[in-house]
Amino acid sequence: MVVTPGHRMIDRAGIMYSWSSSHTNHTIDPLKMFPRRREFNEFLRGLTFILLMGACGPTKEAEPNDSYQQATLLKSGDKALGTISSPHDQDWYRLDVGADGVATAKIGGIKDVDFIVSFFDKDRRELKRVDETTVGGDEQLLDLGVSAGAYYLVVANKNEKANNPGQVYELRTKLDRATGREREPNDTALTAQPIEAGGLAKGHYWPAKQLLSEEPGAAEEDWYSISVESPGLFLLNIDVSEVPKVDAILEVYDTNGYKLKELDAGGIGEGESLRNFGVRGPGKFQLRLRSKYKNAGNPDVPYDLLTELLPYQGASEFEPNDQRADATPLELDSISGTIAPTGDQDWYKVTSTSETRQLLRLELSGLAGMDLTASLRDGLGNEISFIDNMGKEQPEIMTGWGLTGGDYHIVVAEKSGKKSDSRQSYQLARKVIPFQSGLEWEPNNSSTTVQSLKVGESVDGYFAPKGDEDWYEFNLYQKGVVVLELTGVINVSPTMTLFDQEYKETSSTTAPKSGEPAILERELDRGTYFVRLKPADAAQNNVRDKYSFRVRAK
Amino acid sequence: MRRFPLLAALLAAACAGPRRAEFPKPPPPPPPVAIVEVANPNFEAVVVEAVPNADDEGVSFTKVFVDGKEAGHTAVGPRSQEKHARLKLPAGNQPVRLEHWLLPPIGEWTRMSDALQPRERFVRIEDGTIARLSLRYGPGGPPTLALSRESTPKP
Repeated sequence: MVVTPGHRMIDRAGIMYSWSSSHTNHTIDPLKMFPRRREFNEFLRGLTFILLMGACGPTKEAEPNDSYQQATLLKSGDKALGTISSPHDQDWYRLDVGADGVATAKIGGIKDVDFIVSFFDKDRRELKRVDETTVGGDEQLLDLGVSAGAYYLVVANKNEKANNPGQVYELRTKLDRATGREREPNDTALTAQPIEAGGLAKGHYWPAKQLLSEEPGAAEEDWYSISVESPGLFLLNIDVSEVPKVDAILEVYDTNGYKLKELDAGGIGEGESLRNFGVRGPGKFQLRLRSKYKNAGNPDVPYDLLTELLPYQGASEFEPNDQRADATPLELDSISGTIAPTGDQDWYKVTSTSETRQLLRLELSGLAGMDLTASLRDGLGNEISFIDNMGKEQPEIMTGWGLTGGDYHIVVAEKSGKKSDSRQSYQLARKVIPFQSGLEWEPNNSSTTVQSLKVGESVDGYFAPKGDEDWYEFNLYQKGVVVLELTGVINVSPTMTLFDQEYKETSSTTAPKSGEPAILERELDRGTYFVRLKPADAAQNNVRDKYSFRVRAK
Repeated sequence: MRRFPLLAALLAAACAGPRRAEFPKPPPPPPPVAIVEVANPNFEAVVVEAVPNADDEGVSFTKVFVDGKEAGHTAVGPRSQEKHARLKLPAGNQPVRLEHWLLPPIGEWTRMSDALQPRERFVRIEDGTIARLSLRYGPGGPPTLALSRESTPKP
């Protein structure tokens, strides 16, 4: 006799699942023990009798129990013993439930038999069917949502050649409280299980196949619905715990069935997390949770689906904000956001209603393991400045950008587009200050967007972001000697180039070393002149220290 | 009618219409914008405006000042229409300033604010070439100004 401890089964993906149980699988080699068939049959009968007598607790099937009218009564929490007398034998069990709960049914595999187990309601509507293993394998139905009333469990065989009428199978049932549990069937949007935001639901990626689906080969999926009763804006946070062997995908749908978000940031054995997902109340939203790979499930380890609904107060992003039309208004001094899922882009909108000129300054905090970038875009979404001055885990700063009314957008992203982490948040801070004469006015990166100066004036500006160049122009109404003076800035060795009004370069100078000033002195005719300031090396920049540039007549 | 003097008075009052003070003030006449084609121009101002949405559409034109004196203007037209002013200016390095005016859907002709007016700059006027000064208003932000030059075809 070979005793195999515990149950096991192998799915079609070749993954073996096992769980511990008091049930033991007895494999007998009859040729060795009983040379004659008669002796063997007598032994089997005797063994069955002894087992049944010894375990007087279990319910014995009462044949015939081949239809619901003949179903053997099975109390919830009981186990039943039965046999498959012929390949087409069906054993019906009636489960009388007294209150709401979650039922589980497990059947231990026996030789020659390929079990299929089905679950029916009192009207004999089939709610769930499971056939995850082949001949000799165990089957189990998990998370069956039940209310007070009658249900039916049907044990059947799929193997046409099955011939093992003597071996007894064991069907175990269990009834748990429904609180915080998945309630199957919840395989479609229509049968989505209502859950309260702010609660926990435990469920299983099991069975792997959805045998009752009209779509052949459909994989199992669990649908939940969340109702937001109060009017207003809310943030929905969702966490799905990790489950070994399963690569989870979480999707969010609106009441019209439009997919709003899909998360697949984690891999096999990793969880998923959705942060700051904006919802408008009153409304209803549906969650679809499934395994990425068909036939991959796990009956042993449940997932935890944790949801949280918070009133939106403008201090965090309002997902989905992945495109211009969905940009989160940035109205407070700062806002927090997360980079998740992989490739996430967070759009924010800054609206300038002032008639006067203003400067926008942005500060973006760093995130562990990530190199964040910020892109400034105009009202139509066209990029007007890209901020990537610093490296991994370092903050980014946009020193100033001229606002002249209208909408602007800021897009925060992770540089590689391959990283995400919903557990940590960045902070995006903004400051809008009135423009004053003597400050740099970005954009001034070309001769067409040049910033004008008068002779005798000075301007303070930044060599930032990386690759920045600043253009200034002045009109000289009388011929004379003009001096261009540029102060030094740490980490930058600036080049100063003078152009005439036809954009022809007339002279240039570069500071001898980083941090040192540059001076250019020329006798010039009456006319318009342009000066270009830029670091000698495009990688040089300084978001902390301003340069000061002055034009004066000698 | 003698029987209903009150009714007659009411009808007469109703037909009289609103008082003169209740009519909206008529818009002022547009500024003189007759365009005279100049023979052999050596300067051209080109004005382009990007109008973000239909509500912002109105009418505009641009004046051209040379050395502080008005030397010409573009035609009046919808803001989104490209406008030109071709002038014959005296040769030499001339300080040129463009000044943009708007007629909003409601209101009077308004000179655009200083912050959104292009800066003055020198333009070298030469025979045989046309100096083209392009003023462009994008969606938000101050305008851009660019100078280009092309040879005039020989007669």
